[in-house]
Amino acid sequence: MEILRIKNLRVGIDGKEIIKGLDLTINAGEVHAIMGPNGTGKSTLANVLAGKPGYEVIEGEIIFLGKDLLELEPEERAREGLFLAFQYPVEIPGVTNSNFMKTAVNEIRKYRNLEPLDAFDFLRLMKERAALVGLDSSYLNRNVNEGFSGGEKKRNEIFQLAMLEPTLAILDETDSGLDIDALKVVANGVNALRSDDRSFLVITHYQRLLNYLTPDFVHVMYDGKIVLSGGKELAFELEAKGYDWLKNGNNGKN
Amino acid sequence: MNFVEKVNKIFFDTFHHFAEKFHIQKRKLYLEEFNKIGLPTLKHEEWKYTNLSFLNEIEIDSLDHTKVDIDSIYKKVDFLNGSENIVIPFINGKVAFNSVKFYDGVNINRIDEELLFSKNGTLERFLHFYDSSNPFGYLNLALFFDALNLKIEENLEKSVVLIYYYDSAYQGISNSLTFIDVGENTKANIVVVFVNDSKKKIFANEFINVNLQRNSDVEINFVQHDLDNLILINNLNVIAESEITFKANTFSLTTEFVRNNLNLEFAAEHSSAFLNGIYLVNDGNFVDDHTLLMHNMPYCTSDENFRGILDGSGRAVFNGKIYVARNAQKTNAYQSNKNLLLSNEARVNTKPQLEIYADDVKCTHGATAGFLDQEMLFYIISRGIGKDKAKSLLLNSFVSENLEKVSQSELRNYLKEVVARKLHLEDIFFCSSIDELTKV
Repeated sequence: MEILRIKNLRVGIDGKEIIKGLDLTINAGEVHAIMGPNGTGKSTLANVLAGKPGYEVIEGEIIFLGKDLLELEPEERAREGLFLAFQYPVEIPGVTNSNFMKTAVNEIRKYRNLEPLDAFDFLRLMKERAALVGLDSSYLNRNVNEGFSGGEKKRNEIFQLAMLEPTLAILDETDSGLDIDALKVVANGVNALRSDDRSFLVITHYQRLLNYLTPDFVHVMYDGKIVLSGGKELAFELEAKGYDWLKNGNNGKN
Repeated sequence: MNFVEKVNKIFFDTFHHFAEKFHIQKRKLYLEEFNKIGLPTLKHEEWKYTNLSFLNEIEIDSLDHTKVDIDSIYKKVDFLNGSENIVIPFINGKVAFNSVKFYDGVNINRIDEELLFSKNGTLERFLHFYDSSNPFGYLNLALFFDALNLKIEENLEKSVVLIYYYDSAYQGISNSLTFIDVGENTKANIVVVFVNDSKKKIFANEFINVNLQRNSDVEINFVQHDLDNLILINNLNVIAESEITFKANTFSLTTEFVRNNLNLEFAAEHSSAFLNGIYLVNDGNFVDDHTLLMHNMPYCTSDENFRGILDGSGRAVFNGKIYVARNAQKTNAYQSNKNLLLSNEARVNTKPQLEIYADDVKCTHGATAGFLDQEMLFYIISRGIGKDKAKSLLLNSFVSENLEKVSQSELRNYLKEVVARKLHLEDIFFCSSIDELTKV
């Protein structure tokens, strides 16, 4: 089943074109990785999918679960089952993780005409999902990301992913700033959340996250386009040859 | 008649019988001081953003104290567990002495007026707080009902709660005058709550003068919320001896007109003072927080943090003056005033004023007026939370730090609830007890 289809997407910021004609299709249960050097538009793609204001879609279409994604407000995209794990998660003083998640889960359930979860079910779910990413349940009572280390913030993103149970999860540079132990915890969390009805789009600069999180497809993005697609072995090839390999005029035709 | 003429008439109607007495003559001198300045206009430096001309329009009846059922007043502040605290009710500015019980560790009495005004009397050491910057100080000394004295001599487990209540039939002026003396090594928690039932305009000009003896530790919380028809000038003057810790928090949450004058003098070394405030203003609301920290002695620290959310046509003023005397070396003074503007009509005037005569001090100040952080907003929305609710969560987040500064948990939770209600977040914070459950 097709989850996401991006056709000839062109996106600009402040009049400058960043994504210059991108095509990508993701089916149910697949894990896709997008790699590429800095400044090629990887994070722009993640932000456009999540609906962050400030981006101008010049051309193209994005179909998410049969709907025109670009017509949906960002909160509607989330309620339809799209999730973005942020590269730089934001701190929200005065709002506890548990209240934040309770609000989000119940708003999503309301959108889907489901009853809100009662406090006990919700608590059980939170504790279970927190354990999945190795977050002590004391974190649930702490304010969202406030005073969290870089690793804790990223783990909290995966915890939120686990709580909101999206159909498509986008991980934007989730591995950046993580040491190897934190990286393993995050990857194990993601692996535990893989299923036939959940797809992942993993955006990363380095191949190392993919050591723990085996993708079905690897795409190489360069200068606003996907220039190369292949299986997981492509990641290793890229790691060995470096991104200069792309810059030297190799346009994917090796 | 204008405001000045009205208050003069009230003065003579009330006091002409005893005109020859010493204390009435003193009152009259203060009335004359008030008359010299008159109602401050926008030309007055300390009132330049605070338009008071509407006071000329309000009716002021003669000084009056209606009989009010005290229990009904206590019910209005049941969040404080009324009976558990040391409660002192003021009705239209007059202390309801009949309702005040006796408590160990607190001495509550009416000050003899001769004693109040005499040389070395109760008032004298506070007189330097009374000057032309605030003519309502003089007006208060001319028109107050009783001078109340509270002497706190032991650590109190209970809070001292002053309830300023204005009854439904009242239309007039309220001037209370309270002195609080906190003894050496003594810890006290004071709550000042304003409750207005009047449907007519009330002009309330309440004064609390506090003397903090060595190594005392005092917190005062001013609770001002949903005060329609009340024109409140709330005045606090504090003298800090050595090694004291003092904290004052103001919560002005949708109030028609509030001016908080918070003045503190460091009269000895090694003391700390923390002034914090939250104001929420919407259509027809006005809040003016004026603070003055007089660092007259070395090795003292002051820290001010005022946060405001302005919506609709709401208006606010913050004026923070820090004075550091020549010999007040090693002073640390921090001041911050942050505002969030939610509409085009909302307005805030913020003015830090630093006057520093010592050369070895650390003083910082910052004032901002801005809009909601779009990165934070998007983060919340991206989790499926609607825009309005996401904005409210951020607004709550903006003031939460100052809510946490209230140390008494019942009051803190009550204020959190009031703020959440105003931001339409009750269902998030108070419908279920997720936070409580997760602690288990």
